[in-house]
Amino acid sequence: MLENILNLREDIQLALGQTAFMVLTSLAAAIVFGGLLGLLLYTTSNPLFLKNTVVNRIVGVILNVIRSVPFLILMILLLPLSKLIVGTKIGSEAVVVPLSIASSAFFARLAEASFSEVSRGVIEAAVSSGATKLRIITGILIPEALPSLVKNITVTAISILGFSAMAGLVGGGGLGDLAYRYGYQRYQTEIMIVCVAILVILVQLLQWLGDWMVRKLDKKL
Amino acid sequence: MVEFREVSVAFHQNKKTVEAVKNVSLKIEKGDIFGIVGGSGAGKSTLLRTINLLQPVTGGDVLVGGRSIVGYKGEKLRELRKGVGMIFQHFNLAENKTVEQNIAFVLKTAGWKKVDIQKRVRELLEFVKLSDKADVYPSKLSGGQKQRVAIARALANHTDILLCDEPTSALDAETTASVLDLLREVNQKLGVTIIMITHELDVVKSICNRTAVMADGEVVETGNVYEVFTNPQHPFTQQLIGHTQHFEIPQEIQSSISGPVVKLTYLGERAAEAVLSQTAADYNVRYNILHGKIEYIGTKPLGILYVNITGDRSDVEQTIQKLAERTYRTEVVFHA
Repeated sequence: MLENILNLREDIQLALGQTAFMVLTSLAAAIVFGGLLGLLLYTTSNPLFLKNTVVNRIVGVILNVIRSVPFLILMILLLPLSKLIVGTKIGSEAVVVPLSIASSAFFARLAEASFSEVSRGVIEAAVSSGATKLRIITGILIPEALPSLVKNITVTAISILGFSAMAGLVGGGGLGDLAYRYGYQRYQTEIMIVCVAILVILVQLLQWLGDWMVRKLDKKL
Repeated sequence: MVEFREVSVAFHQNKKTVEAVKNVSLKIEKGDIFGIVGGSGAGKSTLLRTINLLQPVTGGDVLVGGRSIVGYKGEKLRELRKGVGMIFQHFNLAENKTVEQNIAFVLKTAGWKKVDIQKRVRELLEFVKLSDKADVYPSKLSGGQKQRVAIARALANHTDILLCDEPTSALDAETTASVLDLLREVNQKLGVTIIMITHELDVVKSICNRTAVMADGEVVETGNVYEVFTNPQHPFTQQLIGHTQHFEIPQEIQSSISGPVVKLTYLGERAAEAVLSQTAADYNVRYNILHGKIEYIGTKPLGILYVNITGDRSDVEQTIQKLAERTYRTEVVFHA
């Protein structure tokens, strides 16, 4: 039993690396693109910024459509796009494209909620001081929403970790794939347990890191 | 300094039009502490927000420093706002910024240099007596301290108008008094014109020199605070002020007395004493004092006395006539 695990040490390490690559790349994309989309949703719904119901609705519908397609299907549908962007339809690199899009849509809604939590009065005070909208966004809105944003980045990271388990379908590898191939298809339950244990530890680490950062950032208490 | 000319503000909500402010004309002079009072939903907050265009107007004109501002947009609007400070009921400080950073944000916005910002922040914190709180986050401050920081922030860019939106409504009585003292100092030492809305009459009474009373979107009465408080003209104002100056004559007294109960209003602390003793001797009537108090409007005292007068009917009538001549106001409020 232990032998099986030792034999697969390199595979486990490789899978961990693939998972880390997929999660971190998609998370970075989600923070940037999802964050910007969340900001767009917030500013187009708030009369103190750039209230624009048409833009808000269109973006909202697109995000909802992306979020309602099961990730497995979304991944297959977007493979041609992966070919276009990263030049291949297989491997971790190919999975990063649909993973980034799905997690951006996911995080956009969470980021919108984080921005909406910022007190209207604080924004109004900044408007009344004569600040430009850009300055209010960078100087007040984002810093005030930051603890909540970090909380939601943690949630996003953990859900990307879950999505990344499906990457095996297009040869993306990762811990989920390893658990499936050895643990399920070859009846090596111990490999499944090891992979799941590593995933549990990763989730705990992410949550702990997120909570720690929120505690550092939040001055409201 | 600020002038409203037939200002109207209408909102469209669920296909209905709500007129929050109707045809308001007011003039606020430089150096005023101008109090706009009224119940909730009277439109006072909406009116206040037209001065820095947080609320656009739908009719009429608003003049600030002699210039019409209702059409201001972009850079011009931001320049206007840099000269008009504003404080709020719930302080509205950025929670993730220190006291210093909160004030510095406004100065950066106004294009101040870094060295000047530091100096100015120190100066402002000294003025609001919070020099030791520069690096503290708002959550560690009391309500009164937060409002002081908000005042410092509003004045940072040497603003000459300060808009106050219910500045003391979230504070207890003691803190209210200290914040009002600070606002008075802002007005007197820095020459800042203050326009304040509040539903608390005591606030207006203690610091404002002029006032406007709003009801249902309209200004129903305006003038010098002392005049409005001692001689309210509009029924709404009378009702509003009545709450603080009214005295309910207890049932036991109502059933046990004879003769009228008269409410005397007089200016000055001791103005009633002489006339009471004189009329008592001249007309052979007796006074029974039921209730009395002295209120201060700004620094001027206003006396209120409820007396029961007994004696011959004609003597009592003559006495009341005499009292009416000699006091600010004499009303018969009850007759046994």
